[in-house]
Amino acid sequence: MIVEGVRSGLHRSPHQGMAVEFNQHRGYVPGDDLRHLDWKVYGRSDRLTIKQYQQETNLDVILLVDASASMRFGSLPIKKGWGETEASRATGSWTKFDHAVATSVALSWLSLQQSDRVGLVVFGDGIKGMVQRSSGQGQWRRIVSALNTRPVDDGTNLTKTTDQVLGRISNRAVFILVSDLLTDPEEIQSSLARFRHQRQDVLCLQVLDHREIAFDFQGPEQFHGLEIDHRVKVDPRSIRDAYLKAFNRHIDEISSICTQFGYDHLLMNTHDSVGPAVARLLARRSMWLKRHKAG
Amino acid sequence: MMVISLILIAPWLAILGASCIAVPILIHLLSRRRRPPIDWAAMRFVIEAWKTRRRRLQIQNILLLCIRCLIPILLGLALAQPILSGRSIFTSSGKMIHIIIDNSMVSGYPDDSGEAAFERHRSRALDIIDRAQQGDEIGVIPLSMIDQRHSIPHQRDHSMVMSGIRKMQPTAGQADLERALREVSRIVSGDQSRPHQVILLSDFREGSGRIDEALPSDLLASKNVQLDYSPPSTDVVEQTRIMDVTPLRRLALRDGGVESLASQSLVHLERDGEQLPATTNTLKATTPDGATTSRQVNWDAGSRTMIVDLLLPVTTGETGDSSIKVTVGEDLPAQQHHVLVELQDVLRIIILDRDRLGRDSLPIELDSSNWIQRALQPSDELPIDVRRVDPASLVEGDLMDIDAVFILRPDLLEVDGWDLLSIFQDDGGLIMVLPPGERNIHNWTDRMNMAFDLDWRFDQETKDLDAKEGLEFSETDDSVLAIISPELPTLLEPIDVSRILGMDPGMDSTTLLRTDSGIPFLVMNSNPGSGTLLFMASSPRLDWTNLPAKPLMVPLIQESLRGGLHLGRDQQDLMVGLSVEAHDHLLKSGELRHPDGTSIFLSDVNGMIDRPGTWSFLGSNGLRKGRYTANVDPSSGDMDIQTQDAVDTWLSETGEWTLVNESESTDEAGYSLVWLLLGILAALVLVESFLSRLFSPSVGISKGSTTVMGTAS
Repeated sequence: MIVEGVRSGLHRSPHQGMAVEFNQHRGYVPGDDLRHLDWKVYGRSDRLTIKQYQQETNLDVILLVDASASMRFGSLPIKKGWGETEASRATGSWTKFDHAVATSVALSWLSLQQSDRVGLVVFGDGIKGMVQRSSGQGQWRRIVSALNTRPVDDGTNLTKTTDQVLGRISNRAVFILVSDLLTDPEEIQSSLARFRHQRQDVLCLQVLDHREIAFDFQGPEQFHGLEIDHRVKVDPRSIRDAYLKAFNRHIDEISSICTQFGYDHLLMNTHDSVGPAVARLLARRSMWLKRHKAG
Repeated sequence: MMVISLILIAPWLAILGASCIAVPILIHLLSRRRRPPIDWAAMRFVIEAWKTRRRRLQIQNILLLCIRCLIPILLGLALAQPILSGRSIFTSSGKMIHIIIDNSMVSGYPDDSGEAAFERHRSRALDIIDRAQQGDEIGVIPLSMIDQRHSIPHQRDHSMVMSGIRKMQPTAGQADLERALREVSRIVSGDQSRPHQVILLSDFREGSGRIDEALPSDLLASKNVQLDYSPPSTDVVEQTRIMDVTPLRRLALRDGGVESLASQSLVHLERDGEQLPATTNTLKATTPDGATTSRQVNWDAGSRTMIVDLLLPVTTGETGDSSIKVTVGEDLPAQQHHVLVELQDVLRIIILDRDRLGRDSLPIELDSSNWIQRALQPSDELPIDVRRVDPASLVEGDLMDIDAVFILRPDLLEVDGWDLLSIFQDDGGLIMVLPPGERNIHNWTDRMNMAFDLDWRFDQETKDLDAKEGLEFSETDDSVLAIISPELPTLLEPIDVSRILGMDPGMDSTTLLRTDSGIPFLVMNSNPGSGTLLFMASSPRLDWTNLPAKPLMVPLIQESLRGGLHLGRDQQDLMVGLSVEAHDHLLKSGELRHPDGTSIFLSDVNGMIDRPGTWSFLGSNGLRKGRYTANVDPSSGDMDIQTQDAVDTWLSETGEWTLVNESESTDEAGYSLVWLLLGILAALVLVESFLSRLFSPSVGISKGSTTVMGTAS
């Protein structure tokens, strides 16, 4: 992972110029520190060129975990030993929130093992809980504890949450957004634009339940919105096509928005294991870094 | 003006089909049963999809529901056999056809070909129904025994009517065309919106077409009613009918050598036919235990009626009512007659007279009791038991099992005694009252009048006639002296009367003998089944009349006894073809049971005496209390034919009748919609199957693993 940190760690720093390892040349623009001019290049080509360096440093990882009401949904019956959250205790199912928690906990563990500082933000229609960044002992337990007891019953306001989070963070960090992202794509786009504006890196992990993806009901049902107070009596088989069309279109839009900002977007199915998804995330990140370095 | 009308042969099936609409609706409602709601996160996509498909789904559901509702309706409608017909605007549905079929006694008689007329009527009726339009409503009214059991109610299901006709059988009853026409008239009056057709199927023989009885005028004279009748039969059938069998005595004594007298009967015979050749019939009388008597009846050429005597067989079984069947010819209903004869071992008689000590042996000194007793027991072989009882000491027990009472001293009877005798007479007993020979003043007559509810007027004193008077016989139909009537003039000749109690019997009694000056000498008051009261105006003493010493005395007393008992115990027969209600003398509780096991409850006002024979009357406790003979109306068996003109004239009183052959149905035929509806039904089933498959929400659902979409930047 490439992150910015104040201590030297296992990650490369995005702050260039502080010269540990040369990274690239670029043209001089007024205002650039003249100490970074590459005089050799100037001597050979009469062009003012700035030398940029890449520095290995520690990483700040901030987990943004969605605890809105829509995350309470789950269709996989929970089994003993899977751990539980407030959502699974209430529904008896492995909810999207459970899956998000499991993923977040795994990522925080891995980050802490690399001496990264890990922080946690639990949000709904705003920040509902936080664990300050730290790489110290007991941080992982604090994160787990905060996630485990968090009520999952709120609405979703990603823009507001983004503003609140970015208002509290001055340095650069990697934000891992774990959510079902079933909110309005424009709101997601607005939110990610704010991150981009502050040159923050974001990983979007979209957690969805298998039933939401497949919509494979076999008889007439009555649906009640978890965040929308609306009831619909319908035979799901008769609207399945239309539903899947709208649903997939939404996912495509989210994916497109992420691509637009250069952020990772990974779809996670609650019926699948967390490990492979996390491994795939790390592998994809590593490949991106190699391509970036080579380019 | 013509309108198109739809007629349903079996409308209840259409109603059943319509009610089956509830089935798809119920299925629909059951499928909408309340389920626990699913808390759904991706609700915006469900709402979006629902809004996109809602209208289309509603249309699909309504379309399928309509088709599924139409299927049972069309099925019921098709099974109801709808007929589409063009009719007058004034007609609401098909024609009503009333078939009056002659099932009376004569219709069951086979003709020369061996086929009964009823079989022809039945075939004709079936043919008419077969040719009727499907929308026509047809009912069958029998000409005999018109009641619910024998009628077939009007209906459009022709197969049911035909089935009912096939089950019909000729009865032993008489035809009653007037009643049948009145029944039709009632139905026509109840529904004048439709055309009616009355078809009368009969041979109109004299037994069923009684043209001497006028029919109600203009009963069915309406433009809306078409009247048809079958042509009268021209086949002459010769037969002999029993018009009546009259046993001269209903009481027979089994022993004593008087059976021949007691069981003699007169049989009234009549012949049908045109030629009436000289012929011979065998008249036979049979008891249930097989005892038989018979005789030959020789008819002279051209002779139509005859009255012959026939000795009725005496059963060797137990005493009591003996059922006897008299037959002539082929044992058809009109050729048989049933009679009951009461069989007893001995007659028990008491004489109410004061017993006197010592008896004189000379006839001139015999008292009236002696004379009566000698007349009752002329020989020791005669099974008549005579006992003398003092009138003043008469008690109820004295009258137990007694057949007759001779009152020689009415002046000594107390009021209680008269009352006992009144009850005795009501129970069928015979009472003969004679004036006391010892008295000239007779003040007992009022008590007698009161006891027997009589209006007889008596002189208060005995009348000594200035000159002895002879006696004259007054011939009457119900005379107890009928059997000896041929010999009576001779027997009466030596009789003279010197003293007599003058009386006037009024209008309700019969004077059998009177003196030359017209003073009633022997008076009878009898009600069938309620005993007989006889009054002799002279005491049987030689100082009143020489009758006791003359040959007439014994036959006069014997015939008065037997004839009186016969009249007093007269049975009232039942008429076959009439209801229980029509027989006034029947009680309204209990049961009549035929030997073949058929029962009629007397409380059933519609109970019909439908077969001849001897019916047992059973009380409510099931014990037999008596028997009745049921005989057919002999005139109903008259097979003589009648001309078509005569029948036409007879029928024309009620309306304008035409022969059935001349009035075949010419109405426009209706069109059956059954196959059309079945075709539509099949098409609907196919469409429903196709649409339900097309609209099925299960199409396109694939089970299996879901696709995880991921996008790497």
